[in-house]
Amino acid sequence: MMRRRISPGDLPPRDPAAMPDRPTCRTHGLLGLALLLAGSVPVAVHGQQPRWQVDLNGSRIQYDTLAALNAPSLAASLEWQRSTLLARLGGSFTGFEDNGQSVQGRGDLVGWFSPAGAASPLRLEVSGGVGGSRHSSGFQSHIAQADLRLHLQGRRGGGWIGSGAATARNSFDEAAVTSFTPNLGGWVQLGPTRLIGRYVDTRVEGERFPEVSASAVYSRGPVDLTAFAGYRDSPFEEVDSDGWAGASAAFWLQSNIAVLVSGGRYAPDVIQGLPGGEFISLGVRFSPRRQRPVAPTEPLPLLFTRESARSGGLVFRVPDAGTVEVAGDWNGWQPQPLSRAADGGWRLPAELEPGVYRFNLRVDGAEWVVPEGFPTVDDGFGGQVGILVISES
Amino acid sequence: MRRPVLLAVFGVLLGVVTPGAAQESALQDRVPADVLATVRPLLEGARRDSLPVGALESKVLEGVAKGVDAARIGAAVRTLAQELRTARVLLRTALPEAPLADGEVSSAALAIRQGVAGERLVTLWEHRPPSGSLEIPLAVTGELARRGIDPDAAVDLMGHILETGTPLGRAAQIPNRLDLHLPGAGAPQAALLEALRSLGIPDPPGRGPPGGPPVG
Repeated sequence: MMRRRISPGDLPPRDPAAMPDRPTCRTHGLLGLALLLAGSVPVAVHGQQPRWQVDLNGSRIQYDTLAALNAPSLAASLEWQRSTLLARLGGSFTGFEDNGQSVQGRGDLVGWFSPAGAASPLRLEVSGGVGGSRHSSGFQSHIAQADLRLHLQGRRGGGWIGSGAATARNSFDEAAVTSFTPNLGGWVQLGPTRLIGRYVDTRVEGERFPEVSASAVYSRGPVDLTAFAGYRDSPFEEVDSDGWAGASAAFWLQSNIAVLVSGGRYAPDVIQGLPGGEFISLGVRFSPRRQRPVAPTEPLPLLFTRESARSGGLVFRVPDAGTVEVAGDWNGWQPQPLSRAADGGWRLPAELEPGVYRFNLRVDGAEWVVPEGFPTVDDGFGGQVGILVISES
Repeated sequence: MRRPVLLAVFGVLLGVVTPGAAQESALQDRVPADVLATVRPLLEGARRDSLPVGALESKVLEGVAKGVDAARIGAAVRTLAQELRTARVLLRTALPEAPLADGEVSSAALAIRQGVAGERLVTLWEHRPPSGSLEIPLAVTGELARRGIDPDAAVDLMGHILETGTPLGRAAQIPNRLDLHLPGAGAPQAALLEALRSLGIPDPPGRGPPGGPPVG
């Protein structure tokens, strides 16, 4: 039988002087959302050093079944990686305006390997996790799940197909609920933005809840942005078809502290039988070092290939320049005018043999500069000279 | 031996010049007389020591293009010549039989200036591609050291890249990727690992795990 949604009358009796009972799903939502966002981006843990993170948040949440409430929370996570094994521990503590509290915890273990060799783009990922929550009213929920996915992973895009299984129970229902989640998805990286799309065909006790969702992650300068949206169809009247969407932003004040802003709507949990809700949150994140959710792309490469140089692919970025000339080892340091390209850059119409060249640009006939994106060395005359590398391939 | 002498005289009369004289002729066309007078002895000494004279002449032309006076051009050329001489002596002493291209000597000199020990640089010749040059790998090694990567680790990394046959085009992007990861990573070595992973380059042995979990 499909687990029903929790309603206020299902909760254990409380002190009449207290505010009406609240379900414990609120922190499920916050933590679940946090885990969703964290799980939707790659984790690059440095060597074998653990990485931790602590978030302090103040939120206002409107559950589907209840009035809005205020909920400050403290969430912490710890990750460490050894070879191709990643371990995560996360937990949160939430206080409610009715003096109730809720704690949640989760542990995950993720392993991956290359079934066709390290140079292959194929990756097989195996993961498992256990989690639980407890409210001061006595309500508890637990879940254990495992996933297996096969990834095709390139430098700018990829996809996966796989399936998961989970078993969950809560204190309202003695019988555990088992689910299967066949899923597939793909991702593409466009500059500092990564787009991910997913399809999950959640099957709970013989019923299907097909779901599509998408997320976008952007990281540039001190800002990390995430947006998400999705829709799930439901065959049951008591479990609505539902859509959700939201966004979050982290503004890094320093490399180890950020301001967090988030808001939106999160989906109900059909496995644990928890309602969805709408939220807005403001907080602070502490971490020993920032970890970008998306690896940034370079503005210009150090290296050009012989073919790109020949085909006019050598373009320099020089903002606000009227004229630009280039002089370097390949032209005997005789300033050569550059032509402006359609994209506003300055194009070098030269064929360069593979090698390492020193060069400068002269802007508006006066100043010698090194354009953006090129390494520099002391020129021996009190200034800087740029390094240009042309390779065979 | 009269015939070779006659041929040499005949060649001079026809305008055939030796390589050194040809190069000086090119400089004469572009370099002021006072600059030429300052650098001529330096260039002649460099030729005698089999140094990359082209790099020195390029430095002269750079100074002229930038409007630098003769004394400063001379000082810069003298400094560069000494760096090239040091690099060449070190490499030749360690590798008496190995061919040394001018570009390799120049890049080695730059890497040494950027903090890489010459004795460690020599180890890269063990991985030198049969028909390739180490000019670019040496330049990348120096750039990594300049960005705060432990110089010995930079050499080890480049050796690992050459040994595994990683495309040089990808390896040469490491310094730029390092620049992008440094602000968020905190430590140069941590940023280097992120840079390597973003380029799909396997970590060197013992230097950390091979990337994070797949995206999704």
